[in-house]
Amino acid sequence: MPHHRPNPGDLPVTRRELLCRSGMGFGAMALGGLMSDSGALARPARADDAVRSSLAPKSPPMAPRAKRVIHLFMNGGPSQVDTFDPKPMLARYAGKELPTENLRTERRTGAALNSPFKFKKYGESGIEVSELFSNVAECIDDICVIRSMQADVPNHEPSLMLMNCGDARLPRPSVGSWVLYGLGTENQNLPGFVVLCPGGYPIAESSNWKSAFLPGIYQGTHIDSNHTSLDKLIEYIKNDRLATPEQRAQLDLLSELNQQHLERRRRDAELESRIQSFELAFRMQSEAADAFDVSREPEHVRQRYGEGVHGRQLLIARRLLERGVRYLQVYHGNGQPWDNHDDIEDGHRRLAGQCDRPIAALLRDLKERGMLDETLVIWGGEFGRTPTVELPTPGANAGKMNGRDHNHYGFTMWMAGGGVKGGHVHGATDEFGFKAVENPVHIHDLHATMLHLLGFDHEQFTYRYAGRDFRLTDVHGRVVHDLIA
Amino acid sequence: MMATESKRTRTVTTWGGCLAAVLLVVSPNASAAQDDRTDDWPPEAISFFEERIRPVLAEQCLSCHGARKQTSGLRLDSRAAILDGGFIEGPAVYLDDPSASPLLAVLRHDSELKMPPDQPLSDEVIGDLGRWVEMGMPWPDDATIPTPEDVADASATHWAFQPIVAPDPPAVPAPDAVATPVDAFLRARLDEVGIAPSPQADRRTLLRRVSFDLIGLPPTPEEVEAFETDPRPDDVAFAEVVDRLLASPQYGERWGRHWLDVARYADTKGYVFTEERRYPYAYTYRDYVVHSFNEDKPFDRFILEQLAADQLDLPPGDPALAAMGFLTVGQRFLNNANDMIDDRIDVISRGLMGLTVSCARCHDHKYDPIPTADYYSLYGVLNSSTEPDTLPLITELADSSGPDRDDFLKQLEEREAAITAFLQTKHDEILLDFRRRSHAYLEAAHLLGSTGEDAGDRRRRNDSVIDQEARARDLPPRRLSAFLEKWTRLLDEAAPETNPILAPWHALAALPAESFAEDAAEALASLTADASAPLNPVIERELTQPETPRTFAEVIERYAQAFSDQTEDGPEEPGRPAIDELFSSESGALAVASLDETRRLLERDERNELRDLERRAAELQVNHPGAPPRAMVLVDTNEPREPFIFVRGNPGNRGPQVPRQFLQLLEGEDRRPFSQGSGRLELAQKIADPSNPLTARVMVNRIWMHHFGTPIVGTPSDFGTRSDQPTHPELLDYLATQFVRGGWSIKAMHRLIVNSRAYRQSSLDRPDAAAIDPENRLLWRQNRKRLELEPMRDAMLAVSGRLDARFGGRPSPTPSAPDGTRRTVYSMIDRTFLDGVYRTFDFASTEVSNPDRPETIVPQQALFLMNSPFVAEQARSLAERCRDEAASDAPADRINRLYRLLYGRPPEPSELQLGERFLGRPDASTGPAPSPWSYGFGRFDEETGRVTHFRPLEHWTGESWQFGAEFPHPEAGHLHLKAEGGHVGNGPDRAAVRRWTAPEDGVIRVEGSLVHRNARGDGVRGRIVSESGGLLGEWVTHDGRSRTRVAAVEVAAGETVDFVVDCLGNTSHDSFAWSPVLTFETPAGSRTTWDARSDFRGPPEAPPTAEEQYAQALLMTNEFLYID
Repeated sequence: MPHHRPNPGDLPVTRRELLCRSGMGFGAMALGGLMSDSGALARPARADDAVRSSLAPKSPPMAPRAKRVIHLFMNGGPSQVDTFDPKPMLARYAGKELPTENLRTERRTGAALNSPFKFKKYGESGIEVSELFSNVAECIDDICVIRSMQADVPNHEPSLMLMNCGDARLPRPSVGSWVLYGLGTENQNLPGFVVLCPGGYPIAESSNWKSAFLPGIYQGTHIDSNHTSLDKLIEYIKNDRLATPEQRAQLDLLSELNQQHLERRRRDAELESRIQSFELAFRMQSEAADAFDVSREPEHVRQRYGEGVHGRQLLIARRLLERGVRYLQVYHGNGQPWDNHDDIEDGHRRLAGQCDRPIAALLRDLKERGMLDETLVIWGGEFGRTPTVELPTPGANAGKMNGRDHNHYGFTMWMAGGGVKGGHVHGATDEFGFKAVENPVHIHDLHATMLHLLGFDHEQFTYRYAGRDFRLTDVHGRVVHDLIA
Repeated sequence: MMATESKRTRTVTTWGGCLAAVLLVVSPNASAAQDDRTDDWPPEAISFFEERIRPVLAEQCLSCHGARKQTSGLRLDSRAAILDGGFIEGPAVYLDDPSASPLLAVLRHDSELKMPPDQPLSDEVIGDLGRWVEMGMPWPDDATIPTPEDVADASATHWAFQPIVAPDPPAVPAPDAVATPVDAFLRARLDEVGIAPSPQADRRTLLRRVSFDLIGLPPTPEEVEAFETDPRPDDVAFAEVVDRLLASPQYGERWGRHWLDVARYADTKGYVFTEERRYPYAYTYRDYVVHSFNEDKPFDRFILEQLAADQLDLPPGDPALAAMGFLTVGQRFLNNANDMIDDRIDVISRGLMGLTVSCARCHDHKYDPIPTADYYSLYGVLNSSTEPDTLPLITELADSSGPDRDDFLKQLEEREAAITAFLQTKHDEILLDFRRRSHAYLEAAHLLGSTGEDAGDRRRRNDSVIDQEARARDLPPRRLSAFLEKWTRLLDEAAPETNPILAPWHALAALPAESFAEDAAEALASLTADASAPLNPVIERELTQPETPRTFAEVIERYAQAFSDQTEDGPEEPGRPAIDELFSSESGALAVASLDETRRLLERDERNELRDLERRAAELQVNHPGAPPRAMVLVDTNEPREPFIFVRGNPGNRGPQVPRQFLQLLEGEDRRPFSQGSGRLELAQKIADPSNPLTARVMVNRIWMHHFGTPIVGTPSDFGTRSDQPTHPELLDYLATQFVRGGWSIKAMHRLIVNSRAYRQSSLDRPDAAAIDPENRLLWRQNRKRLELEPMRDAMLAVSGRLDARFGGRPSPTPSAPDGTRRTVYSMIDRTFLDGVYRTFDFASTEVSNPDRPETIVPQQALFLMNSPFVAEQARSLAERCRDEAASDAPADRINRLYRLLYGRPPEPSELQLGERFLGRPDASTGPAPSPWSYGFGRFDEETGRVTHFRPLEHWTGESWQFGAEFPHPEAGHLHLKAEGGHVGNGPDRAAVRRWTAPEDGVIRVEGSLVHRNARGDGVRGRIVSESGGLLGEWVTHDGRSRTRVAAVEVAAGETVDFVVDCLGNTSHDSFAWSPVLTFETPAGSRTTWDARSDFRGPPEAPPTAEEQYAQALLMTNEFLYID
């Protein structure tokens, strides 16, 4: 089937104009139209005007440190003691029982399992990072490592839900939905909350990015980043049957008919918005094509991110952030790739090998473009892993004694940019890396802190539903000021 | 636009509106004198009050300084009261000198007076109060704060909890303006503020409005004409239209869907781990709802059936059993029972009564008088209800005969036949076994049967003895047991002296072992000599030849020989038929009588095999789309379970036990616990009771909302103390009263509302009225409404002539499927993988009960209309329909027909002109530029370095291009090309060639990987060859991958670049993957990427004609998508 890629040059507006104009958003345009109506200033804006513009960019109540978020989700749970939380004691106890009792996790674990990876100090801060993330480690002075994360249970589904929606079981809006609801999005031509996941869905599927009781427009748009073609990435973004000039002629006709209709109805802000939305959709076709087309990046940039799906999806991520997407979540892969109950040495080496370089490239790229300051980068899994070896279970890791179980008592996440302290370590686990013992940070605290950085008081950022004011942090959470620069 | 949204909106726009608010408002720190301002606070200030101050005042102060009790004359429940102060200190707060405020000193315990008296508040709280006083005591309005006692009081004071009164319609000065009593109520309010109602809409507009409203479909041109030319007065003609629409079966499909929003209906369970995701029978609930609306089922009955159809003594198979899907089609929460019950409590309480009972799961409701105990009373009802393992079959509402049903019956027959065949095989096998191994069976039976017990004893014989004997002889124990019983009965029933077969057995069995040999010969001689009772010749021969048996063991052996030996002299041998008769499957004494008996004789592994077959048949009932319907019912547990309060919602922390009973708020002090089973029916009766102040009000409000686009109470699923005040309280009560008095008839409500003048008003804006009531809360005009997803999609199908009006049945594909033709209410709703179209067009949530739908305008909606295959298909059919139906080929006639079909009117001259111009454009339908890719085969000529003999592959399979329909093809073998790769042909002339043709001059770069994944064969060779430059690269891959890069190469317009794959030595195992990505840059600097995989297509479709493009534009207009 023949089809045509519109060149930016063919379009009625230039790309630069487009990027600027889209910053305003059609909601603002609609409101502008309303205001210009004679006497409209005296009239209060109607409720429906506001709903229509509910994706328009909004200012948070406090001065924000971050304007956008990218959450690099290492789904499955990477091991802290093999990545960002070195534990020399494990070498001394390798193969021996820990002096303290093993904490109860999903499955039984045995003796201490030493990390097979070498740690080294990096940067001026001298923070130790394992060889697995030697590229990311080069950016350590921009990174705030939280070594004292805690979740509630050692199971994937509830922990993913907790991390993504602030509640382990009940249908609650995801963090991205809350942020979109609170801040709108700067580019009406792209979804404001995008979830990239190569190969399909993580476990618990779309529950991870649902909007629950928030309006559906705040739900995340899932994109299988294994795809390279735009029409697989965004629904109905391409017209396979009409050439661009033909579609333009069709929309001109539509616009003319709608204008006549509008005049016969003495103008109506909603009808006007609808007319605008077709123009925006028309431009979105090229805008989205542009955002997802990494071949438009110079060779040296693509080189930096590297070949392969992780390089490509993080490069797409940067292009989306640059275009004003508010909240991005990037999963490592479908299912739970980091879940190395056995063969952790091979598994973690392979997984880190896939993402270490692209993540480092993203951090540098954001920094060079002056975007890192306003972009909150978050890295981590739904929990960490035990410092002790997982005992074999028939049907799972039978015959293997070389992996780690889930561990919600203590694990590592890191943040960068968006107003956090670079080259800083917050909190600590015990001497074996089993449990957070110093300045523990619960997921609710992480959420409270994220909202704080975005300019919200998590206790006052609410949504009225079914007779109650709901919060992302429910009745929990406290802002961890020590992380903030 | 629904008014609850305005509530949400206020929250949404809090920060957006912040700037404006701050500009308008003087600084909150202004040290004004004791001012009297009551609002205009910046939103963050109000949030601060709501979050930090209000709870402290309510919980710590108001018991003594509130509405009930004013110790020292001081009240702290309103801003004014605080400023007024009490007897002792005067004003409690000085706005001009906040830090000196007595209130703060008292709280800090800095003064003689110390409050609270027992223990000071925490420093943090005191700090908050100080900050709040500094800010000037922001307070949301002049409202007073409710104390906990006030909350309890609300049952006596809040309007929605009071009995419904039956107000008389107010007298209106202009009785002509009143078509139904609804008008009197609305008119009275309008008169109060001096707004005149709008004039009546014209008949065409009205018909379109009421058609979409009641049946969700546009009127046909004929219906428009009939109504426009009806000479009778408006009231009469219109009422008849309303009756026609209400009688239409399509009414239930429209209004049933509104109810499904409340019921959070979906066809799947939400996230599950490994179990089946679908609810195979959810559709029976959906069909029940549609059907109930169509038959105008009284709403109270509708409630009873949805909560307790199992307890209404319905006849077996009654389709109304499906009503309980209301409770059971919710999410499954990974089968967490507490969460499922919470979901059900929520849908019952918010859906039916507008009460947010779920708020009381962890603590007493903050605002409404719903204690946690009441939540667990309802919890107990639902926890005493369970879903049976096998759902009951019900009579079909929808005719589901058709290919699916036929296939189901065929498969069911096959699977059931497999069960029968298995049992038949086993039956025959056992029979044969009894004969073949009759020696072992007889031996064991003789041993077990010769103990001289009677039949009763034998039955009681320990099975283990049989097991032992069976094991010793390697016989299946159940078969031995059966044989033993048959043999014993045969012996018992046979006449010992005269039975031709068994007389010798009886005679010989009685002989003593010591002298057996002699006695046996004698006994046999006497038996053979008795001519009156001849022996069976076969038995006689076996027992006498070559000699008589010397032991009884030998007798057994001889009998066994007689029984098992079926071949000697054939079945003709005298005596043989009588023996065969013993084993005859119909009547034989030693035969297995039936398949039922066979089933009982199966050994363990055979039983497992049978169970697998039976399971396969049962699964078909569940999973096959043609299986007959079942109802997703609940039934009571054997014993009701008494609920305990879970403290803070934690099931591990049990508080006191509570009875299963109705809400105190509605029942008062003398409520009694439920007494029948779970209490579910009693709960339903309490909800459907005419004296329940909520049920009827909530439902009429929902009905009203869909007719006017805005409800009377802005929070349709929350009538609690924090709900919106009704815009017309008397009207609400009048409607509720009429609803109950009219037998809870929903159709009667429609007539009452829709026939009103108010409903029939024009929707045109009027600046004079808008200046007074900008939100049209008083309904001085009808609201313009956007079509929701369902009527939008259905209307497209209707005008294109593709609508399939069949009722009900299993879900049809998702609404975006281009070939879908059924109404949207029947489309598959998958909670987890919800079709994007649902989300884009503001569909109801499938996770929780919906009070209303949000309404957004986002460009994704436009993209669907512009680019989706579904809309393209409707446009194509619509254009075709107009070609067929228009009187002539003249564009004007077709345009005219289109306008009548879509809008029910002829085009205006200016519209006609626009249409004619559009249709008359030169090159109106060239379609997009042709794809630069083509797919063929050819030869790479080593000498010239060029591709020769290129020929296109001509057969398209839907997924790949190949040589011919036959595959593998006798001439070309496995040769084919598909998106990600293909297979080479047989021989060097049949290399697979993916060809790209340059659209203009430029430079190309190529990236990609040639992959061959097979250790066998000798691999493949890939080449990139340009027409002008020849070979650009060459790679050989065998069980591996080669990166195929070509750096900048210039190409001229029209030049080809070929991606050639051939087979090297042999053609076996030569599948390959190679989907190169080509970047093309023109001298002007524009860059385009061509991706072989995603660009891959079959033969080009004809581009849409100008008429199709025109039809699509008309489908996208606001006139089509909005209802005036």
